[in-house]
Parts: sequence; C-alpha cells; structure tokens
Amino acid sequence: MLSADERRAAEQLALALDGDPGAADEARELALLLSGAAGAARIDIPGEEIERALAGTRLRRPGAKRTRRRAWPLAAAAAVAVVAALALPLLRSSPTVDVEARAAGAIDRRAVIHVVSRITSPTGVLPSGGLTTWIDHGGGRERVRLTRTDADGIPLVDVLSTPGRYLRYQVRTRTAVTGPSCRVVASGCAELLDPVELYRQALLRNGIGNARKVTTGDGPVYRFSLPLPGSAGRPGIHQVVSLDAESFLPRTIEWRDRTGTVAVISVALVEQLAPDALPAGVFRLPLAADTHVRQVDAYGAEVRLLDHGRITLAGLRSSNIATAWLGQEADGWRLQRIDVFEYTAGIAVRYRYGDATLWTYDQVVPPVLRAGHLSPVKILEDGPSPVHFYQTAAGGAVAERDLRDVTVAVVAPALTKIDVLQLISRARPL
Amino acid sequence: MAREPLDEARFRREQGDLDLLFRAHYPEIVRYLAVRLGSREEAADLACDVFLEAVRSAPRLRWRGRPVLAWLYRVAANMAADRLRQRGREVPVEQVPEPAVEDPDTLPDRDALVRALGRLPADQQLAVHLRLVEGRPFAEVARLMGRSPAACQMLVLRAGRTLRSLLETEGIHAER
Repeated sequence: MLSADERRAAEQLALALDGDPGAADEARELALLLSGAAGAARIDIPGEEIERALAGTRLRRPGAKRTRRRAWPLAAAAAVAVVAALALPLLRSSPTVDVEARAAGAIDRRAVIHVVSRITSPTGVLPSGGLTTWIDHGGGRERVRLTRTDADGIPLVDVLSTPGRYLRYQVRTRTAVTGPSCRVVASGCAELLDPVELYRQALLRNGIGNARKVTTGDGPVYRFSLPLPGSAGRPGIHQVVSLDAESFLPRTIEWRDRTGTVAVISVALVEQLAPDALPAGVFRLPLAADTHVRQVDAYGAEVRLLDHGRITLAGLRSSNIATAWLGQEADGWRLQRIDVFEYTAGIAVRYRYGDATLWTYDQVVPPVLRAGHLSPVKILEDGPSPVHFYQTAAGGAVAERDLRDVTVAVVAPALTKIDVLQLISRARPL
Repeated sequence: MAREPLDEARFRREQGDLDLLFRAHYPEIVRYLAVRLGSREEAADLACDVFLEAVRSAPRLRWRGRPVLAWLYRVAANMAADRLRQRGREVPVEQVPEPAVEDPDTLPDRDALVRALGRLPADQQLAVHLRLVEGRPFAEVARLMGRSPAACQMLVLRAGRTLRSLLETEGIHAER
C-alpha cells in the first residue's frame, strides 16, 4: 500500500518533470538527475541506419530467399586458416592499413560535408544526373540538403531534411510535400543517402582489406571494394572505390552486382566546412510562390484537423503541449483568448492579442500559414534564430522563427514589419 | 478528444505493415535496448529480432485499446532479459559492486548516467525511458505499460531515488 506522502512525492516529481518551478525540492532534484540521464540515453538513430536495418530485416523475414553457403571441406578451411595466420603480420605491415586510416580520416564527421557528383546508372538503381548534397551530422541532429539535376544541370528535385521536418520539392511541377520525416515519402529516406556517405559508412564498418595502387590517366588511385548493405533496396551490391592517392577522398564509386556495373558515381567535389562557415541558405529551401504544398502526417496521410477548442492559460500550462507566448500583454494588447488545434500530425496553438495573432506549432504548419511558410520573402538574421517574413494567402504579414521546442509565427495585417519583428522577439516558452 | 478510432486504425495499419512499424518505432526500441544491454551495437541487432518477431506474431494480435508499440516493448524487454541471462550480466541493484569513491564534486558524466539507468529494475527503466527519453506524457506511458498514470509516476519516483543512490555509490551527487 502506498502512503499518501509517496503518492504526493510522485505527483510532485511529475510536476517537476513538466517544468513546474513550484515543485518540491526533492522532486526538482530528481527531475534534474533523471533528465540528465535521459538526455545521455537519447541517442540519435540516423535515417540511413533505419533503412539499412529494415533492409536486413526484410531479408531475414520468414519466406525471404536466402543464399545457402556452401560448406567448405575441412581440409581447405584448415589450409586457409594456416595461410591467413602466416599472412597476418604481412597484412598488418602493408600499406593497406595506412590507406584505411587515411581514407577514414579524410572525411571529418564533425564538419558539414558538401558533395557534388554525377551519376550514370543505366539500370536505374540510382537516378542519373547531377547530385549535390550537404550533410550536417550536427552531433546527432542531422540535417541534409540534396539537389538532383538532369544531365544538363537543370534542377529536378530539392530536398531538405532537418530534425522533425522534411520537405521535398519537385521543381518542374512546382509541387512539394512536407511532413515530420523522410518516411512520409516512398523511398524518401533512401533518397537522402548520398553515395559518398554510404561509402564512408561502409569504410568505417568494414575497413579496407584489398586496396591496390593503380595509375590512371588522372594520376594514381587506390582501388578497393566494399560491401553496400542492402540500403539501396538492391542487396548484393558492392562498391568499387577509386580513392585519390593524395587526398584519400573518393574519385569514383562504382556500384556492381552479379550482373555487372549498375551505377557509376563520379565525385567532382568533397568539401568539408565548419558549421559556422557555411554559405547562407544552405539549409533553407524556399519554394516558388505558386508551389502547391501538400502537408502530410508521419504515415504519409494528408494532415486533417481532428479537434479544436478554446483553452485557458492554466489549462494550457498544465498540458504537455510545447508552446510559447508573448506574455499577458503585447504591444498594448491584452491576451484575449487561446485556442488549441489538434491535427492528425500534431498540435498548434493560437493566441489572440488585439489585431495580432500568435501561432505556435511543432510538426504541423497551420493551414492559414501554409501557403507562405515555405516561401519566405525575406530572412533576417536576428537574435538566437533567423526571422522569416512572408505573407498569408489573404495578404497578412507574418514573421516566423524557431524557438527551442516550437516554431512561433506572428500574423498582424495592420502592423509594419518592424512592429511584427518587435512582437516576435518577445516570444518565449510558456 | 476521441482518439480511440484513430488509434485502432493505426493499430491495424501497423499490424500488417512491417516497413511502417519498423520506421515508426525502430529508433526508440534501439534506444531502450541500448540502455538495457549497455551496447548500442547489440541493441540494434536485437531490435531487428524484435521486429522479426513482430512479423511473425503481429497479425495475430487483437485490438485491446493498446498500440502495437506496447507489445513491441514487451517483446523487447523479454528478449533483453533473455540476452542478459545468457550473458550472466544481469546484476541486481543491491549487488552492484561499489566502485572506489573519487572526487565527490564530480558531475555525472554521460557514461555513468547511462550505466546507472541500465541498472534500474526493468519496469522503472521502461517508465523512465518512455517518459523522459521518448518524452511521452504519463497518460501515454500508462497506456503503453498497461498501468495507471499514478503507478507510472511512482515508478519514475523510485527510479529517480534508485538512480541517485546508484550514482552516490560512485561518488557522484545530484545537483540541488
């Protein structure tokens, strides 16, 4: 039987975990400890790892075809073991080990990696044409920007994937789909796997056991092969890599399966930049003004409104909704009412302050903002995060910025841009 | 707000679609197992076994008001317990060897915190994982664990106290 004191202590801890500063001392102490431990356990699982594991699981599922390995005669196995044992010291001292270390060291995961390549894939295992990717591993909060072009360099697809947000823009048709992750689009996550990044992962996972130096018309390269675990949906593919003998960066990566070459990736550039040295706008994807944007939930279904209704400030505070506000009063206007909108993919909160409206949301952009949200007309670097200015379909001026857990947007048709900027700079967690 | 029909629809979709189920829940199952087993690699490996089991068994599950995820966690917990038994590494909390006391002012480092989390009793660890690592509200934690929200709050309270005492035996004290 639980004592009333214990129940109270548990409730206090629940309050402290919700950020209530009025919780008891022990509760706040334990909340801090538990939050620290949870933070340490909150490891990021990159999209490509999920796709790789899924491909592996598909192969292992009941009924999946398996290749039976032929049992080697015992004598042959023993002979190989003896040869391997004799060869081991030689392999250790061979230049291959150095190639592996240099190749692994040539791509710095802490940097933002910019890769430009050209793909030729007669079998269609990869889309042929140009590919430009920017990958920021960001200490577990990965951001990827990817642009595909046709053979003439004309953009076809532009994709931006950041934690909790995914946007895929088809340039020719001016259509876009946006949702919480790459999973909302068929093959969306596979598309984000840059061949150079796949090479890097295979290198770190498998090492190089068979590099040989070859002189080509473009100078010396190290050539070796690495497996490509079924991540491209085509298990059994391996990659033959030609590594520049000076920079130890890949020049070409050839994907082969049992039938022969299925894709050739010619790497024109591998550039590594410090996060603070990035060109402006790399991780932004502004859309053309007349783009048709489809917003979907985590399952790829069109976002729908489930419910909405008025809520009190106290009710909102005691809920688990991540939100922000401008205070009881903003620019002379008192907070008049708050409404919560529950969509199939997330929750948005609307605060009314006189002529100004504040929206806060996480994964679902409220429909009233959707038209302009992805087509900012101006971006102002101000304070902790940039402020995006755009217009609603009805012509209202909007300023929007990302706070830590939530995005805030101020809509104020009657105010100037400076007034709106002042308002949004007051937004703070509720 | 009535969620039941929506939840049941999701249950049905996940029940019949490995890809959907996998992509939606693989990361959190790996995170859970990584703490439980103390190895991210092993966690990724075992998580695939959990989903293979789902392929075999999920079509036979019946809707009882709880998501497929609740079942996944139960399978993951059982498989982790089997794996730990095989390794003979499951050390009851009270038998955790006391390491030498170092600087008492040392702040908990990441490894120490994760190690301590891994030593929590299974139900406390799952409650902490769901509430704090995955950030679910207690109502949802309760639904996934098949307990009341108050019971889950109590598990987290006990987890906090156990964690504090485990860290104190390592000479690490919580900030006050």
